[in-house]
Amino acid sequence: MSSIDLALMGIKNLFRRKARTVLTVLGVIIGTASIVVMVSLGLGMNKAFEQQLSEYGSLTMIDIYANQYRMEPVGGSSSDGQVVLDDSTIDTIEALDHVEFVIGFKRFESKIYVGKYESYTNIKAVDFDKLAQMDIKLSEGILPSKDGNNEVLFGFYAKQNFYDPKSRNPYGNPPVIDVFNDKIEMLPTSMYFEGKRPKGFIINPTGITSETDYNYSWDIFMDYDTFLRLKEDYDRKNKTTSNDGNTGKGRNNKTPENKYDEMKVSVSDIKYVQDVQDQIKAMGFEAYSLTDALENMKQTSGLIQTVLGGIGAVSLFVAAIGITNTMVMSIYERTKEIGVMKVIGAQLKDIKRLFLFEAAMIGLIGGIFGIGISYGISVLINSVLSGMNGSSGYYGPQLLSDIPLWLSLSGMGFSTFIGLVAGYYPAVRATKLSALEAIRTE
Amino acid sequence: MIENSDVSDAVQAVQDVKEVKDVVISVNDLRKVYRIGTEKVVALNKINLSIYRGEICCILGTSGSGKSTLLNMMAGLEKPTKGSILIKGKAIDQMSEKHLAKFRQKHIGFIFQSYNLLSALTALENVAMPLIFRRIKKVKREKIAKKYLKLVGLSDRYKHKPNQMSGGQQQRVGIARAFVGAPEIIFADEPTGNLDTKTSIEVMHIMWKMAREKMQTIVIVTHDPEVALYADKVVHIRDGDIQSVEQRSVDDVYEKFIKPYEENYVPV
Ligand SMILES: Nc1ncnc2c1ncn2[C@@H]1O[C@H](COP(=O)(O)OP(=O)(O)OP(=O)(O)O)[C@@H](O)[C@H]1O
Ligand SMILES: [Mg+2]
Repeated sequence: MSSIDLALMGIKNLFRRKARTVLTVLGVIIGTASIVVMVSLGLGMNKAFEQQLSEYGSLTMIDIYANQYRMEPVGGSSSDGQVVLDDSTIDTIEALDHVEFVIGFKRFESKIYVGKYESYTNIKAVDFDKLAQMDIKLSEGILPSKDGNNEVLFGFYAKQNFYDPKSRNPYGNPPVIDVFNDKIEMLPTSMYFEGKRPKGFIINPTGITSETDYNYSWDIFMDYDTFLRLKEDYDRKNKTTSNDGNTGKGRNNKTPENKYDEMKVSVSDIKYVQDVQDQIKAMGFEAYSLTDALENMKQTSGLIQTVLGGIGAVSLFVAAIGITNTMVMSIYERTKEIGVMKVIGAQLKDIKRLFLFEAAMIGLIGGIFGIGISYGISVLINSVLSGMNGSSGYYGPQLLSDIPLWLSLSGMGFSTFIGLVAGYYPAVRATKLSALEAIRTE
Repeated sequence: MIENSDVSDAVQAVQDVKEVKDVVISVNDLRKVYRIGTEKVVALNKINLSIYRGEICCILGTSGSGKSTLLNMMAGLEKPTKGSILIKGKAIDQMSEKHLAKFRQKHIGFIFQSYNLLSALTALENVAMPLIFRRIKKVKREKIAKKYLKLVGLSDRYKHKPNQMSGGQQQRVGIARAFVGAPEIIFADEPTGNLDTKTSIEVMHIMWKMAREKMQTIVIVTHDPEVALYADKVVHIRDGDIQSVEQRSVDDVYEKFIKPYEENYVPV
């Protein structure tokens, strides 16, 4: 029997028993849809994890922090095993394989004045040439450059820190600062001034960072060299030796000091992050990356996916029993027909293939409609849940259920396979049917 | 070639005339015992029979005499308790289910008492069915099926479903289906059992004509002596044993039954 004739006969048989076929297919639809939706939730969760993590920072970045315990001056040079974050460290790490560049930050306490308002916002000193490579998201403006006149990058939330010290309720009504047009004055100190304060430096913001990138939304970024020049200028004029900074001239030559208190290492690909991180740790630094968190989250979501998939699998299993049941019923009904076909020339494999085909068709049709319904459910889940999240604004409209093409294809393939498996026993039974018994039954 | 020692001398003499012919079916010491619980039912005792190419053989006997049992075993639908059946020299009782299915497809046609047409299919599709299993393409098999439906006088009933046809018409579809693959042997169990006398004669006439055309062998089981009139060999069977074998000349049958029928034939 040729495949085309077999297929046509099988489809005809399914059509003849419409009601039962539809009901069995319905079972497969529910089974497929539940398994696909469950897996899609797991996948969506994975995606959400990654999205969330990328809000905390780039997944290819390694953070290095100054080791606080070793900061005590020991009076020796760096040869006694103490590791510091300075330009030579940058060179060492940049020499490692797969490292694109290393950037260092140092936080300086400072005061910012705008009109009658002031704020204690830290200045983060950084090499602007390297910052340009960092792919920082901006909400407004452009990145500042070294060559400009005291240019700075303003953190999104930094502009909300201002208050009026003379007001009776200084924090009650945060003022709206026009970062680009207001005159902004910076003092590289956190000292409190009673009455008159020394003259500061005018700084010129060129851009504001995005509120979603937490790494860059709290501080004001300034070029390292520019800031040092201003600070030295300020210290000389006011004859104060800062007790907060670590860059005072007097101590600079005695103790190895951290030029930076934070460094970021950019790795060329996420797969090298762990390796580079381990090498940096071996040098004695404290290094962190988001891959640690990602691994954890992936494990968790893998577990959740298995559980969800298992729930779906149970319903598909029930559907498979439904298929077997339908096919066995069909054999009872068609006993005579099968017997006649055997007597007039059907081969055993014809009978077997016919039943397998019918069962697989039930699986495939159920799979196709199941996938269709899954897409519907997925859209529904996403619109309902993202609507709920939308008001909080934090997560944004993210996918909670995600059905990639491979999932829908393998969903269909799997349901067809289930059909085949479920149809195997009935198919073998049909071939074993005695032709004589069959034609005897009146 | 004739091993029928148990058969009476008279019969032996008649069979000798056929010496030149090929044996198509050879039944040797065939025995069939059914066991129901502890009770034994001897359906066939010890059957020896040879059927020749082109013969129209009728197995005649009363109800319960074992006719169907014999036919079913010859068609390979049942295994004997003892003895053997050779069809075209092949021991059909030794064959596996798989080989039997192949063998049936190639060499055997079957006509049932209750027609056994597939109710969902049209007359044409029913007749074409055996050709589907032989992997013959749709266009070709429908052409052949139409030819055979024409031969049984149903050229205006291609699209009819079984439940839209009379019993006689259904049996003619059944005959077309049995002949469509041009098998060498056709088995028929009570083919006229559900038909009235007039229709029975019509059906027998068609079968006779079609079988003669290609020298096909037909084995018909019946309890109706009128049906047996068309056979050139009549095997009388009673209680599981062959009572006698009657042999007639084909020309005799033609002169007595076929020719007069054709002369008076009024198509229904
Ligand atoms: N499957 C079976 N199990 C037990 N006994 C059986 C079976 N088939 C047939 N018999 C018995 O074997 C004997 C012969 O049966 P068979 O069907 O061959 O008769 P028959 O000549 O075809 O009769 P009829 O003209 O009524 O069809 C009967 O006594 C019957 O009861
Ligand atoms: Mg019978």
